[in-house]
Amino acid sequence: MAGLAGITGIAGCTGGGSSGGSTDTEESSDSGGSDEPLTVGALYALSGSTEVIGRPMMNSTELAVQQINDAGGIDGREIELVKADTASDPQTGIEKSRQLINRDGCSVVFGAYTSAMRNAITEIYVGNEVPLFYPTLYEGGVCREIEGAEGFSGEINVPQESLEWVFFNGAVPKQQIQPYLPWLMEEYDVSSFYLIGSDYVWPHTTNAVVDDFVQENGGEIVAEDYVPLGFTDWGSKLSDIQSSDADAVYFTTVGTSMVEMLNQAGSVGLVDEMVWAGNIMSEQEARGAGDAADGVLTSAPYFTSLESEANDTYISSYEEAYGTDTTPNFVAEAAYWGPLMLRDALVEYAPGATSGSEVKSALENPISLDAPQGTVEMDPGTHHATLQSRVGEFDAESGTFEVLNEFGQIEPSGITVAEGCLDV
Amino acid sequence: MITTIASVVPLQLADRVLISLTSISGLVLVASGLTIIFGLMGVLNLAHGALMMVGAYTAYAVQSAGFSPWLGIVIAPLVVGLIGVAMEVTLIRRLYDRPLDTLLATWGIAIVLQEAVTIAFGTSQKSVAPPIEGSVSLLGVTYPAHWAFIIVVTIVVMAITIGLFAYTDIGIMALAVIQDREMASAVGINTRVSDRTTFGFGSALAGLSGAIMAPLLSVNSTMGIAWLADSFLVVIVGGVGTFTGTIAGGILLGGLDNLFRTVISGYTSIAQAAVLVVALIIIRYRPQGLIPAGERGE
Amino acid sequence: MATADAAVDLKTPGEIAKLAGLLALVALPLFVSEYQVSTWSTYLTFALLALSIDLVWGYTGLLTLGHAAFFGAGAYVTAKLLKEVPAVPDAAVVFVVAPAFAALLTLGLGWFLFSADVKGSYFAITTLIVSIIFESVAGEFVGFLGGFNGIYGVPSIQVVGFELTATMSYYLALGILVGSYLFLRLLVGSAFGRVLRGIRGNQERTEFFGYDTQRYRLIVFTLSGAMAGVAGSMYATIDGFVSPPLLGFVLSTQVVIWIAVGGRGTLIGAVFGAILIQYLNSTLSDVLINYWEMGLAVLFIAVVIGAPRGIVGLLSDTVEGVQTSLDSANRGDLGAGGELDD
Repeated sequence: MAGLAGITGIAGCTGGGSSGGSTDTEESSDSGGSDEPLTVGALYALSGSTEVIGRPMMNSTELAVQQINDAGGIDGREIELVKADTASDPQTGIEKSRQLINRDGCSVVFGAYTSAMRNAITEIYVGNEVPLFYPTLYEGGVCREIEGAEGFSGEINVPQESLEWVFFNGAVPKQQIQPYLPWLMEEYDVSSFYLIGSDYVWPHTTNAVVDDFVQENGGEIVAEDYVPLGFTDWGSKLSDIQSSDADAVYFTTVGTSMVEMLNQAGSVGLVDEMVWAGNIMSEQEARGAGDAADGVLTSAPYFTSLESEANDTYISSYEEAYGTDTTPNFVAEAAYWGPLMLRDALVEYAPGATSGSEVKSALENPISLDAPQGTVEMDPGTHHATLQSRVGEFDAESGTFEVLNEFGQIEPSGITVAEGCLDV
Repeated sequence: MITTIASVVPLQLADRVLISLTSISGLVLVASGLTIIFGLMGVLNLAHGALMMVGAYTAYAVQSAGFSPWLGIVIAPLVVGLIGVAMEVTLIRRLYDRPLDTLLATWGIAIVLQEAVTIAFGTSQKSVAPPIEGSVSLLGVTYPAHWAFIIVVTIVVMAITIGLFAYTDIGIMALAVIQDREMASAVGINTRVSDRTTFGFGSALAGLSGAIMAPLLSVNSTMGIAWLADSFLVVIVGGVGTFTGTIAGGILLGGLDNLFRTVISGYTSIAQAAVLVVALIIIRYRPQGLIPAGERGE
Repeated sequence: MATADAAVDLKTPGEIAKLAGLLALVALPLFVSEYQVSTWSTYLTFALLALSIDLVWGYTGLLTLGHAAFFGAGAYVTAKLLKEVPAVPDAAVVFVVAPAFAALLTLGLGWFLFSADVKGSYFAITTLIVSIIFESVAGEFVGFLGGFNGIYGVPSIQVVGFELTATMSYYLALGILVGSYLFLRLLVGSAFGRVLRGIRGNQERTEFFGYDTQRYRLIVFTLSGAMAGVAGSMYATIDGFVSPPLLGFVLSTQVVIWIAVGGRGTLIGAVFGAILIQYLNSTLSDVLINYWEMGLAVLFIAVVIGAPRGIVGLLSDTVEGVQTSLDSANRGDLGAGGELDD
């Protein structure tokens, strides 16, 4: 695995300045700039199967916008937020995207959870030339650089054409796995893994990356196993896992299925018996599993328990505004700092931006931000973010993760699996 | 797969038998309420899964108020039984002669219950602790106590229910009303009260199953949907209107599910779909189910 | 479109209302912006799905809770062909392949079920299971059908190399809907339709009169499957995206709710309910969230119990009340009830 080659790329581009690329220079934008409020959309699931994760995301984006406005907006311009509910249904997501862009005139939209939703709506953003901030962790693996983008940093090769209006500020598998697995294998002295996941694209891709790193570090994969989304009855599967004699279970099961897996594994004592690790469990699911998730490891850019000023602000203002029924987590945190990054980009590069393409150009600059998770950067070439990577162990009593190790910043490039990249 | 089974036969086998028993018991327990409401009374209750869900939330509410999990298991059937009685009095009663409309109305009730729970408890998943922690020794295997408890509860519930309808006055009257309403009325049975009690009892069982199963599941407002289709299949495939049929249906479907998943490993969705296909074929070629009731109403 | 009114009696208020509704739909693209035209196009395709379900449920008494499977099958086959087999003309995909594929599925399933006289609640449950099977199978084939993420980037319809605009797609969808409505109206008003209502009212009696009800049910179920296939096909070309939920029972049950609220067994009620509730859903759900779902469910329960013929039934009853003194002998198709009198 190459991987780190991209860093010099970023540095080089930043230093070298930009000579405009294929687009017209945006210097004229301040003359056409406006003091009118900037209209921004938030598109999350407030109902349906993913509302449990959609609500904290919506709350977080709303919170960020309020904080921006309270602090004077974008150089005095207010941000006007329009909220829309995808109902966890891609078809509704399409309809709502059209409304946000065409009816409400949003210049940028934050939203979507799950790749199915993103795939469904992307075309609308491309067609209308409006950027979409996608805060969810996802499989990466897209294969081309963005046409004409500045500062292309090497291997990650992003978006197919259709994704060039999307900005990804969630993690791709490599960012969570690259430092995590070697650490896990050494720290817990595990060498054989049982991979169990929900049967769709993200777990398959993630497991391919896991496989790579396990092999590279001299471990072995005992089994790679998938269950349907919503799988409930874990009894015999747990029996398979137990009899496999693997040292560790690496799980990429999602949603309720993950919670039920942990509940049932916990009650047969399997969670204590083996090391359970993954990179998708957040505070949300862990609390759903309660005691059963105690001691389970997960890698994420962010945990609610982090101690930093930016995180204190986030958590305390979140709880003040929305109570403790929903909890922030690493996806919600990305939904929170997305608007903050937008503000920084606009203030610096295009304070009067009104159109989607002006916003996009502003975002395609090296921007660094002090987010609750720590320093994050948007890579202009790939539209993916350099994020923090850390590992946490769930503590059921406090309902939070104890951070066991900090891996620092990991850039998104080099996510390709083995030879070449995967098609989304 | 073959090697693992061969190398650790005795322990592994006992383990798997027990696990299958728990999984079948869970199916039968959740379906037991539907055996009464759909099987005996002929009411197509699409709110069955939602009633189970309310049972699970009741268990959660009792626990989070600081009471023992045992109390949750006692209170859940009472709460859900009362909801069942309320459903019967306000809606179901008007629809006994319109089975398809019952199906629609109960689907509406299911949505109302789901949304009500979301409004009351929020969207986050709830964690419910089992009443018994630790493990027991069964067939030479250390087995989690709560998983064994599910098997025991299911056996007890089925035994009590069968006994209730076979030997007690209330049960026999309820059956009489279900079989011939006019005749029952003519001999002086209050059919209204009887219907209400029977429906309430079936609902209470749904609530009980929710409270018992909650520790193994992800408790959220839509959790009942997955169990709804399974429950109907268990009841229909087993034989509508008989408790032994429900048990047989649970054993067949639960067993097939585990079997297919082992045989078609790697394609668990296909395995699940295959179970459904088998169920379809049984419904088509043996509509009276595995263990038919003496007489089956439409 | 106006020529289609030959068979329509313009004197009754019901017909006037329908015509006004049609005119409003025809004029709609003039008054709303382009993005809304696409949204309204999807409303129309779902209205067509509702119409196809009303034919089997409202007229024949067979409640299908799995029709989304055939809608989705039409959508998937369209997505695959339009994206990967450009040699097949788009119009042939939408009007021949998709309906034929869906009809084949309904024909097979219909034969399987009707030959054993599966009906009533068993029919509802088995169709529901079929929907669940379709959804999980589509989710499994990641390579071929895109799995859980579905297939995206389905192009719009091209006619001789010319791509239809959103507005043209809208009028195409509207044309198909109106055409299907008029066709079904003729169908249910014919002798064939009387047999269907006979089956709904009392199947044994209809058989006693010498009708092969199994064949009638098979024909009507297959026809309805073909319509659902066209609807799904149009949907795929309009939204450009198909995924497993399009096949699932949640969509099926949603559409049944629309029909029940609009008025089952009236055809126009299915169309009216589908369009009205989708419109309200998109305007109210952001504001009311859980309360909207709950309110709709309560309305649904109320309609099922108190007004089985839905809003359209209530309206026509009211109109009837006013008109009692008038000649009601040649009223249109609003009357329901088993009327196999001869």
